[in-house]
Amino acid sequence: MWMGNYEPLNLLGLLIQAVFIENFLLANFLGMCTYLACSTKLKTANGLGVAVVFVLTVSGILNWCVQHFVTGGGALAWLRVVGVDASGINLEFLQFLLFISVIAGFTQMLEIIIEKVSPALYMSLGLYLPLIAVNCAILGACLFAVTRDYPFIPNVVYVFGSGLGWWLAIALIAAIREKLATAHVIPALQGMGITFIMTGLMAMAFQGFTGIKLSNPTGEVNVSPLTILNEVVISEEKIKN
Amino acid sequence: MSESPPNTTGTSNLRTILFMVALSFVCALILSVLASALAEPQTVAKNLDRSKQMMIAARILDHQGNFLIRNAEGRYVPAKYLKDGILAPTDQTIIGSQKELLDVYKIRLIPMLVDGKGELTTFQAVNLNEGEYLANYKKTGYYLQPYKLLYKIQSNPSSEAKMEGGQQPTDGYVIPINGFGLWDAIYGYLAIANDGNTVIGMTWYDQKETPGLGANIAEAPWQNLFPGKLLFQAGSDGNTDFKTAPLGITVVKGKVSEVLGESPKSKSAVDGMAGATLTGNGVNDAFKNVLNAYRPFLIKLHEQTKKEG
Amino acid sequence: MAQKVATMSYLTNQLWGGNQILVAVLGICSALGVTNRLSVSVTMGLSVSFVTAFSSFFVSLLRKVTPDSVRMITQLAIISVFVIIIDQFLQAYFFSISKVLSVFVGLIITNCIVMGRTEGMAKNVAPIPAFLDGLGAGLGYAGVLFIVGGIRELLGFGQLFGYQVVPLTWYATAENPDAYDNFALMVSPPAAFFILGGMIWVFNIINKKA
Repeated sequence: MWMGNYEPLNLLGLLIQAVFIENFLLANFLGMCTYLACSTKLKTANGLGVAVVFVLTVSGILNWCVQHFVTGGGALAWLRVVGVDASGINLEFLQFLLFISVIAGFTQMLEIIIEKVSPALYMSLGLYLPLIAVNCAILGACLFAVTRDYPFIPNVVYVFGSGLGWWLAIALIAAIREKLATAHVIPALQGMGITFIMTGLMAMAFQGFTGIKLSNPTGEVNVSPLTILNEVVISEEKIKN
Repeated sequence: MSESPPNTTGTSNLRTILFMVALSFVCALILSVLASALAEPQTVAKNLDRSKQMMIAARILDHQGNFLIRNAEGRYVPAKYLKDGILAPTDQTIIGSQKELLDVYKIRLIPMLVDGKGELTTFQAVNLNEGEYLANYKKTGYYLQPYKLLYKIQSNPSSEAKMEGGQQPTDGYVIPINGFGLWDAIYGYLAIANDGNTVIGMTWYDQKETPGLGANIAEAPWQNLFPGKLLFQAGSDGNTDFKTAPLGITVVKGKVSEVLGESPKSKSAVDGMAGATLTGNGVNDAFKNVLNAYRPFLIKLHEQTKKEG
Repeated sequence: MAQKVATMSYLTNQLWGGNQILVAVLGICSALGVTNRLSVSVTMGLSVSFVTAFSSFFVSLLRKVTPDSVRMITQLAIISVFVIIIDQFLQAYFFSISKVLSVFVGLIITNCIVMGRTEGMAKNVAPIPAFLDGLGAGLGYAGVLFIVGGIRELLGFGQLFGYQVVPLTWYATAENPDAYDNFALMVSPPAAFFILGGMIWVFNIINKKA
């Protein structure tokens, strides 16, 4: 449940995969709307990025718990502690509703806490939080993590890496957009048109990372070839006799 | 706006809470009713998809969903559904309906277990719950278990077989293969003939590879390269040492005709897909890891056929 | 008659002049991720239309009783319900397509178009205009998806809806290595960006002339 059959090296591979290879924004295209529509500044992008990393990591953890204790297959087995046998109940259809509620609820709480604790932080980050609640990337990362059924620690690594990758991509796009603002672009392509083409080129660049495989977890039981051969020889003799 | 002037905080909080409770209740009710109503079509759809893929691998079905039957010369011709899962040859292709597909599947593909020494056995004989076994070990791999899953392909029931009495003859076996592609796990079915060496067909029913590139492993043109290939790779001299030969179909980089030419090894290789080398490598590893666990069983099959043939 | 025209304009306005993808630049995420094949694009477009139309309808219906502090959560809850309905329905009757769409159906919840319509329009207008507005937004989105999907599948696979459109005889073979080959870039994600950029370009040119 905690690590499954993942080694620390697998975790590093998972992190690199989430940040570069399967970059949430450039390979999966999630989380762009809010950014594209509202700003061209690097500073805003950094603010958004940090907020997303934080919200994504915590939401990822919370939603993993939701998946394992409420909506997964056979997840309600823990109710046996209070004497209710609910292992046959399948609440998978509530998955979307619960996930988005957890995310929205968490961002709401976070906004309140930040406002009370640090007005300065609130001024720089807190304004993005409502936007982030409906950011495709957050729900998307949680849903992808569920489809892949990671154990707990790899799940944390995966959502953290996804957030980092998103931040990286947003920052890169913002930097280029700042430059584009003063470049000479034909009128019909100004604004969104050239931004799309530019993002497409970046996505192509990130495709170059495909195929870097650091390590995958295997469940391989080490059976030496000798053992198999021995069994084969024995059964051959049985057939002959 | 039609909202009433703000009351005391207490009342408006209460209103908010009541509203949320009512909303949650209504939402949960609608969804629960829907989920219960659709639960059965969903399980049917999921099982149908898996069954179809297995039947395509066993060449009981073709990729378009038409029934197939093997005629006396060994070629596969269109078939139609008679009743009780029995198929009969016919002139034109007919697409099977959902019920027909499930009936044929139930009769023709029997789940069984094989142990480390290659002995066939059943779920009842070793006291394993089939449903639990199938669900628990799908991800980690049935081939790692002490009792490994495979499916026996029964022959098409016909009146002659009934007259002989006794068991239905077997057309072959289906082995579930799983491995890791480029992005995520891949799951497929490999159907082999009674000699434990020749491939009848191969399908991949669950994969999340790159569309247009690695995902081509799930498409008919690539899967059609597999029938007739040999699992045990022959040595360059043409002889096959079943105890030590590499086991599995190799996905080469490029075309088999260019890479291996006329070498006996080419009988155990298929063309690679351009731009999908890593998915191909994943397929190779999947075959190697999974099939080694079934080697004793495959060797037994081969020996039996040698004796009879 | 004048009233009816005004109501229908909620629908038509969303199809071109206020097109969600090309003008408001919302709903990009799924437009890029699922437009590999036409069958998937059409399914996605229709699903979003369904969700947007009915969510707008119900949000508008409840607009007078919804407390202001839970406005966003209520909208999210209503949208989720409809997305779950679509997801369950697809899993039961269109299993192969739902396998391809996988998590993207769930992502309709966070699709900016849906929230944009409920927050921007539905909470201010009556149910029927809200429904038409949502439907129009969804259909405008579906139209763009259809075009992008069509271009990508035609150039990247040589097929439309799975049917081979580019004759197989045109393809390059070992004997004829310089003949036609599929434009593999179209199948991968960056192509969607380029096509959308191009569509915005064309859209802007047409609008300037009009």
